[in-house]
Amino acid sequence: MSILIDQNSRIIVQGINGRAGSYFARRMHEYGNNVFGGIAPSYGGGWALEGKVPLFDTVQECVKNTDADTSVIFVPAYSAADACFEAMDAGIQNIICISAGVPIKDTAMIRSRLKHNEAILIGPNAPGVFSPEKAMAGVFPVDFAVEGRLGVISRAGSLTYDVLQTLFENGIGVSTAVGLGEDCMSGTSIVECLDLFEMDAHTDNILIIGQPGDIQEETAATHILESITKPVYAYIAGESIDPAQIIGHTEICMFDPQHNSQKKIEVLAQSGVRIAHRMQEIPGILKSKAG
Amino acid sequence: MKLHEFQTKAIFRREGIPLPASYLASSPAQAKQAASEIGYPVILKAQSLVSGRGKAGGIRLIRNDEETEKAASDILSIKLRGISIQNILVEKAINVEDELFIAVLYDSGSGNPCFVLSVEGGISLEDKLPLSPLYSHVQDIDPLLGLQAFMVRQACANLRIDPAKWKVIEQIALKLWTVFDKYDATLAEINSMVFDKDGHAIVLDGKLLIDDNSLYRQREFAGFLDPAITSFAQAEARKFDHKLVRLDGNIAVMSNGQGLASSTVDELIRQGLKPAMVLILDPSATISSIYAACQLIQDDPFVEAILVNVFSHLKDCDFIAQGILTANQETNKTLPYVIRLKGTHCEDAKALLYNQQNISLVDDLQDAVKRTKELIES
Repeated sequence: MSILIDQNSRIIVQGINGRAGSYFARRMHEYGNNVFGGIAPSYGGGWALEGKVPLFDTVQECVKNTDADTSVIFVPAYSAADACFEAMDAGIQNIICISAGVPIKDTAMIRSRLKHNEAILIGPNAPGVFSPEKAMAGVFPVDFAVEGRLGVISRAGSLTYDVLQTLFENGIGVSTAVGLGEDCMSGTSIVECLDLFEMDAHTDNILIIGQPGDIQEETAATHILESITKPVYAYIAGESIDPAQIIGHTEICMFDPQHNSQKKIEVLAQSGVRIAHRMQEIPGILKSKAG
Repeated sequence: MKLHEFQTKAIFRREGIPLPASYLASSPAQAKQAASEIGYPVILKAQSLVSGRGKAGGIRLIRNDEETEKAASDILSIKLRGISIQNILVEKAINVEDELFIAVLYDSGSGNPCFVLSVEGGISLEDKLPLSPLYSHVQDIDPLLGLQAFMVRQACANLRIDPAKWKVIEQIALKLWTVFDKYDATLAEINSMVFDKDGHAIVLDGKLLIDDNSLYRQREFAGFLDPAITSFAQAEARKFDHKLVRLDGNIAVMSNGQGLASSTVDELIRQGLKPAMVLILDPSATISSIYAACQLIQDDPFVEAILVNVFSHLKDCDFIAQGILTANQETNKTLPYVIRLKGTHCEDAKALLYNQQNISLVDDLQDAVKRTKELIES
């Protein structure tokens, strides 16, 4: 088992004709053999991936024909909100938005609408979801991951892939890796992911990959103490960064003075989370389970 | 991006929020001219994106012409964290009765906007968190519904504000919501709103932060960038959708993700090295935008070495290699690059970079930092 996606997931791709969309539709299909359709307005009736994947004009039409439950979105930032609303309206449960540069206002509106549709949004600006040896919905590199019992929750982008490779090289298998996205506001929170892993019978341990900015790790620390029984480990990048060094104003979350990594590490450690201070320390803390 | 007070007030005025008469001045003579048109007493306010102008003497109450020029030239000589004051807002001084604080901002806990009404005015929101429920009311807002008038009345009732004032507070709060919503703000703050001796409401100060990701549809703000704060390099990086931050060291870090950049900076600092800048590449970067990023870094006088840490598996590694290679020709290969490229298709990319005298290719971050250290110290 795994969370969010598995071998039975039925994936569709919105924005399948773009550079990233077509590239990753192929990667996903090669991996899980479960990409059932693509959405490309005005190209309906055509095919993608050498006739393996049918194209549809709208998500609704695609869902009607494919019974899809998961959509991976690669459209430009300015139409990401529209694409997410369309997916929700068509009854898609897992909406995975890879698009980067989406305005916060749009993300907030999508999040609000999710509640009415009982849907889940991963992203935007996110790697997506990867359940090794079952399915990949997003932009994860699939070569270095084996199935296992560690659940991975990450707020990072490319750093997530680096960590997965480190886990792989140390023989540590993963049940599901969820990349929530690097934006200051994301569709699904660390807390919501922790609950999913807590309920998953095939996940024994949980690893959080965090970074400066946002209040998610701090909120997660409280939640872990109150509601999570499985052991939680964390690597929070950026603990040496001193936001006071910044010249001028920046909206890059990694220099957010209010939510710096030192503070996040402190509160997580207080909740009994084991901390890796560098990426290479992660396999070590996972293997020393005592205590 | 953060707007200056005078820029914020221009937006507020456009949306019908009542403000005192004011003019912008960039010299003592202009300040005097403005003050005499407005009529004394006036307040001179240094326009700065760096906080601390009050403590540095950047806000002065002035009663006559003689004081104005002297005070204005004092203010224009102030430096806040090394950045000079360019403009002064000359504003009609108001006799203050009650102060109120109103804000709309995103609550990163709930992911929704929230409306804050507080009877403690005078300081900014960041300084007063956590808010005391005795003096402040916080209301979560569904972004699809927006701020509703009843929410403002509820806040007024909870804070025991005189019902005679509710209507005007309601009107101003709804206009502030319009500003927040219409201009893609991440924070819209009125700090503070007062009632003058005739009972008229007026807004003394405000703050607006605009979401960088919205600039494609909020085009007017592109012209609001302050060159004193946003360096030329930062402005250039924005054009290519890269993000750039300046620090005070001598090593440039280029990476394709904030998490990876953070772990790179960690490792540099652990080895006693200091970053000069961090550049986060646009996820859909092309060869030419990567070339532009390299040029920006190479042109920086403080950069002595460039550490590239990229993990990617689209065609990006190829693009990055080609972008670097082209940019590298232009410096006569004098600036050392230490490059770590990882990902599914990075072998071809690395092959492009072999045999360049000033480029070191490394496999992991520790080696990259070690090599950078050797280069800096040699």
